[in-house]
Amino acid sequence: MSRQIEKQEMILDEMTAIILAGEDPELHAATYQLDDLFSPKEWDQTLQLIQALNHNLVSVKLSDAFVERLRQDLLNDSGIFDANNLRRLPTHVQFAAMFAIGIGALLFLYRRFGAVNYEHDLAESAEELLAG
Amino acid sequence: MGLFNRKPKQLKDMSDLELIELTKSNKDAFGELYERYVTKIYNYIYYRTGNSQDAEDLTAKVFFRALNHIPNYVDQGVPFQAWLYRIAHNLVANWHRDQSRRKIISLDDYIAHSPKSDSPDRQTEKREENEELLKAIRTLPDERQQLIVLKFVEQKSNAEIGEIMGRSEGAIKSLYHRTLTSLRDEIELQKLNHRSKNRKSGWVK
Repeated sequence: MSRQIEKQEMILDEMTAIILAGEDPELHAATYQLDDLFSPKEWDQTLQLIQALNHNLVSVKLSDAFVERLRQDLLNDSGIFDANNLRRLPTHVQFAAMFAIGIGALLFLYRRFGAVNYEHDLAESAEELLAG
Repeated sequence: MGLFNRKPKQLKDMSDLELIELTKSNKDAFGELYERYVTKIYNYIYYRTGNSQDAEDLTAKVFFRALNHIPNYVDQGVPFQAWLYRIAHNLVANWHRDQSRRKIISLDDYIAHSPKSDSPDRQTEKREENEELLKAIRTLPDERQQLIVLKFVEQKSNAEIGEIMGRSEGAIKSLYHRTLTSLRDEIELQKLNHRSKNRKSGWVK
């Protein structure tokens, strides 16, 4: 039984190499004693599967812009506080980060200038009251 | 005289190990390693995740992780690319853990690499065939998916796959046999389900 499995493994491995090399598997299949190892249906389905895998799993080309941008990011990486790190975050996290920075800036400006004006108005009101 | 005229070795002509050593003092050396392997790593991740956006994000993470850990890289006889694939494998495994649902390859992505000469009908047929196959592949355990991608997309030998996956050549051959058998059964099951669905929708009409 294990001998049979070993033979099956060897034949499928060789047939895969033949298909990957772009050769006709049927020509090579004739050299094997297949009847003892696979049923005709099993053999046909497995061969079709290997051909489908070879046909459909093709190498995908990366966009040149992505390759170049990532190269720049890698070679110019200056640590955790690098602004480029923001670009690598998912879009929704980028929005959240920008929103938080915006709110922070507004709060800072309000505390810095809004509060001064408020104190100034209070002082003016007090002066008016005293004069009145 | 010849000694003084000797040109310094170009990065392109250097081995991976020479580049790794050089990376400690020259970042451009890492740039060369990056160019050698970025497409392979992207392809591996693309087929494991099924969409280009996540594949790009994870590819970037792989190379940033590699850049940060390369000073600690120790040559243990395993090729540098096996080290990169292992980083990619771990990140993809984490990604799958974080996903509540698995995505199927998008139509736009598929059309982007379909041959232009095909008629629209043939393209649709091919797309369906491709989606069914990818769906079946994604039902496989992680290591079997990894094996399929390395064998068919990267066209690596059993010995190379063994180095990447930390197994012997014989173990890869056995795993490949079991993978084909379970993939064949899964596709048969999908076809049966598809037929029974069609039959049911026919009765409704």
